[in-house]
Amino acid sequence: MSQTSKRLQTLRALTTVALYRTGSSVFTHVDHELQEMGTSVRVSPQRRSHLLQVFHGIRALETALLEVAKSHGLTPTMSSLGAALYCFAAVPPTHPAHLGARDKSRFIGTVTKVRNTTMHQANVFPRSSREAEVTLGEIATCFSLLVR
Amino acid sequence: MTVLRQRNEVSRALRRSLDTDAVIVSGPDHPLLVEAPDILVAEKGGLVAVYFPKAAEYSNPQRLYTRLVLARLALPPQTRHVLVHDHRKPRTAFSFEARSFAAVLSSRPRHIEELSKIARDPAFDGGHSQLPADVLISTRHRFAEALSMTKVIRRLSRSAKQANFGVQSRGTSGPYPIGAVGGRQGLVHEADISQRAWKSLDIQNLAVRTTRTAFTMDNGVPYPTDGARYGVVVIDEFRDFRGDPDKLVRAAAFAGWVLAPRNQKPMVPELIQRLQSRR
Repeated sequence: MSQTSKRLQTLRALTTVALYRTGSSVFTHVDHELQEMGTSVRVSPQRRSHLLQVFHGIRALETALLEVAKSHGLTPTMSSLGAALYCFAAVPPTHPAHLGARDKSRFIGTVTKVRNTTMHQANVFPRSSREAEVTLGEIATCFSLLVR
Repeated sequence: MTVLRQRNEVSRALRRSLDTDAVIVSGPDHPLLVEAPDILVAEKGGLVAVYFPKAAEYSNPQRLYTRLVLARLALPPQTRHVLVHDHRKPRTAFSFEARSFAAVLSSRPRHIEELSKIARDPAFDGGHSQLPADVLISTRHRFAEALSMTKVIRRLSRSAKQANFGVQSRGTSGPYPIGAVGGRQGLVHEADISQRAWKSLDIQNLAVRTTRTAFTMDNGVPYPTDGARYGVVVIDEFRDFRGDPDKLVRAAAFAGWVLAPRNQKPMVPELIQRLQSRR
């Protein structure tokens, strides 16, 4: 099993934990989205594969974070990734869903901006394997810090 | 039996005994950990992290301790951490770590069934306290701090290379002693591995140093101490990790280490001073 696949399985394990903690079937959809991310690795040409992996990863993350917020009784100002990150940064540090200001700023730069560009601009693809991998690494990091 | 073989055999046994919905990951890849637990099991009872001590960990139990502490801090707080030791080796090898795990099992097949029971039982916690919020806060803060500094250094390094300038001296630029340095004894570790290409094992070795001084384990909870929490390491240059380019930088930061490439070596005293003031 490749390292990318191991990371994906790790995220699926964290999703399963969130599913059982909250009882929310939304995490089943998140899990399916993660599996789509895994399937996208085999798509060609490569730039399409990169785009799809980032696309599915962001959808999984955004859905998961909004559901985590809901499970803690939090209400982001909008139903979006950025709003969820701001929401988590606004709760006290002792709150289980707290996100530090630096982490929030970093994810806004590395994940939310990529999301907005990729989802809303035609004919935009990750410029290289490395760029896609960096984004996916940040998605996984954000996931690991907040989806629990 | 090698750890890899143990992982595979136990994973297969778990798959046979647990629900089909269970997610079992052999050799997980966690974005914040260079060396993660050997198996993660996500079932109705929650998450179980399983550890098979490696040969290097039998020789140096601090390495297993480091692996456990960092995983404890990175994984969800309710995770149960279970040690499965080789039944042919003396259990006393890990006598002081054993109390830190929610359960200690031997590698005999009948004990693996115990693992399945733990995975299915949400009430099982091995008598361990849950991770306090302030421990998580302090860990996250350290991570963000170290990562932020490393990213700044990286940008400076790129700018210096692009401008083709040497780095201007900001003070003493001689060789720095390896070991804990600082105005107070042991506040910030220092290391220099710039003489050769660095790799993930180097990061784990560094993590052992900060984990030993930064935490003390009590009833399964790693509590921060007053010891050195951060470290600054000089590397030859930044290197991508296969499949996740920033993984090693991130994992180093999670263990409290700031990475400074060789062309930024004169900045090390300033970095150390800043990290000391963070206490």
